[in-house]
Amino acid sequence: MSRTAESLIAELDRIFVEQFEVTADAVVPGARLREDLDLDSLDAADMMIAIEKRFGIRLDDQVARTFRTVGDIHAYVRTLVAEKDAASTDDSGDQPAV
Amino acid sequence: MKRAVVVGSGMGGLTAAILLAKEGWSVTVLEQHTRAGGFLHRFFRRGVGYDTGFHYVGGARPDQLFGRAMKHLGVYDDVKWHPLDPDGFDVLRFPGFDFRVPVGVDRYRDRLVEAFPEERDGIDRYIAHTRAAVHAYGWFNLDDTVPPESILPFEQESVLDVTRRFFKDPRLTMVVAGQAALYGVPPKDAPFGLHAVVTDHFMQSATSIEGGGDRLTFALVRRLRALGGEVKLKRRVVSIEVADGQACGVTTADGEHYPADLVVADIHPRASLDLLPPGSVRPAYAARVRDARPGLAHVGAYLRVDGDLSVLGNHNLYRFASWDPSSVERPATPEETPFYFLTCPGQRHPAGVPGADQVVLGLIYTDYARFADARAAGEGAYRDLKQAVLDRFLATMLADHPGWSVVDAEASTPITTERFNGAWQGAAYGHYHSVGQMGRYRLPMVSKVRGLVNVGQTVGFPGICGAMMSAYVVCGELTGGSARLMAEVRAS
Ligand SMILES: Cc1cc2nc3c(=O)[nH]c(=O)nc-3n(C[C@H](O)[C@H](O)[C@H](O)COP(=O)(O)OP(=O)(O)OC[C@H]3O[C@@H](n4cnc5c(N)ncnc54)[C@H](O)[C@@H]3O)c2cc1C
Repeated sequence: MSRTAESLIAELDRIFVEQFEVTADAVVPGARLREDLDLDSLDAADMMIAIEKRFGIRLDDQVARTFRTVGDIHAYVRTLVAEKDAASTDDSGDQPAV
Repeated sequence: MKRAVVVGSGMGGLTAAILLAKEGWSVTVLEQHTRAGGFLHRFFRRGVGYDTGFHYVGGARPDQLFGRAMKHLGVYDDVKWHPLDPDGFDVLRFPGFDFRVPVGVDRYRDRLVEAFPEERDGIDRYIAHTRAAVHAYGWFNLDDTVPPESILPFEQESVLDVTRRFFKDPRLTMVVAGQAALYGVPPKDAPFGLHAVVTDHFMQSATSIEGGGDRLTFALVRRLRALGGEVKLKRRVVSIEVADGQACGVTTADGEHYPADLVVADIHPRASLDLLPPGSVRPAYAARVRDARPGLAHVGAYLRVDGDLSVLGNHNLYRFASWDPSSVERPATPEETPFYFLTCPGQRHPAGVPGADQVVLGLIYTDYARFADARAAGEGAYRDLKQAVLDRFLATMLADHPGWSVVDAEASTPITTERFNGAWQGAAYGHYHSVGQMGRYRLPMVSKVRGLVNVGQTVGFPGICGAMMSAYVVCGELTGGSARLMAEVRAS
């Protein structure tokens, strides 16, 4: 079952709040990871792992290095999760796509 | 003068202590045990010494990485190095087949081809792939031009996957991948890069130390003292203090406080985490460290054996009960000993004390939970399990060596290791250095708490060289970049 875009974003934002102690108001697409949210390269590794674990996806290191804002992460994770959902629908073979 | 406190006197801690003292820091090493050295530690029975966690090291010739580092640290000449048989320093014994691992990658390649001639092409491609992997590790080659991320592709694939890709004969796969037993990660999980570096390191040269790991510890401690540093024993650190996000000291169980500008933790990052005030790190990091899986635990066998031990003269024996790669990880139980390691230090070093030439040290991998459960069930259950696992191992060993008889046998369990070393779940190599926990997933050396860094085999590679290198990497970062430190080691 695929998530709606909103629920996916909400889940991602919850990672910022619960696991990185960022206040909920601050987690907006335009927020800059380093300057606004005080997340450095050590946090970046933890972030990557937390996201991969939560969504069962694998982030590409090259792409992850280009993240500057919360919105960058939203967009990339949405693409990966959509790809994953599409793949699992393909796998289900005879079941009708929903 | 800036003050550093080092928690733990293992190889990583002592290396960091010397490097910082060389840079002019005032350094205090706090060790919970009555002896320094961590896994370099030996214990004594009737004057005969038994090593707990060190048998041999790779690359210790004066022109190789470990040897150069020993010179750079100022201890090379204070230790008696003993080369193991260059024509076969490790014997890998499978059912009906021995493979002797020689010094020299070319010789290793030739020996593989000799044993598996029809696989020549695969072997050559494997060797080329290994060389490429080794090259990716800048510090191991003292090459500061290699970007750190070059290692990532080599830590994404397991040794078993790589060897299966190159070899058709599953026996050849096992001859190559089985060496993973050396660093305690099963081939299905061991990152290929780790395998490449560790095996390359030993194929440069394999060396033991006369008098065992203690001798290296003593030399390092002497050197640290000469540089003005100190090692305090029986000082268990019970907390690391943090003010404004900066580590500022530690407190020991006896209530003494040691202020510091830098705390170097030579313990598992999980143990460091438990010493920090709650809330010092973000939940994401705490969860990641708490979820990390510890490495394999072991039972150590400390034996004196009557009989012809020259068969183990100047090499180690890795004995696999089957050709199945899982024999490296299947735990030793009262029913089976799927794998054992044996070494006979007294056969290659002057004995000194009567009985020392009869010492045989054994290592078998087992699971922590089995021993912890027995322990929880009571002292009797624990003792019985320990004895039953030891007995099965001895029976297996004696069936392989019918001329031997065991004079004395003592064993350590994962619980023993946990107690004497503080190793989380008694893990022999700290972290489970697996594909899922290395590469981009490896635990960081530099922590989110400013002024707190982690060294040791968990954040580095398994083994004393890995623990030592972790300290070089961290101290490089702390003292203005790795390049200068690398250049110093290169010139040593
Ligand atoms: C059976 C076995 C065989 C091995 N064989 C080899 C081999 O042949 N070659 C090789 O290269 N490597 C070998 N190793 C691995 C090698 O011993 C380790 O990689 C290395 O010694 C680990 O060093 P370290 O710096 O990580 O710390 P450790 O050696 O783990 O030292 C940590 C120190 O911290 C102390 N400590 C813990 N908690 C506290 C606290 N709260 N306060 C104060 N002190 C504390 C401990 O007492 C200990 O002294 C072997 C290991 C085992 C178990």
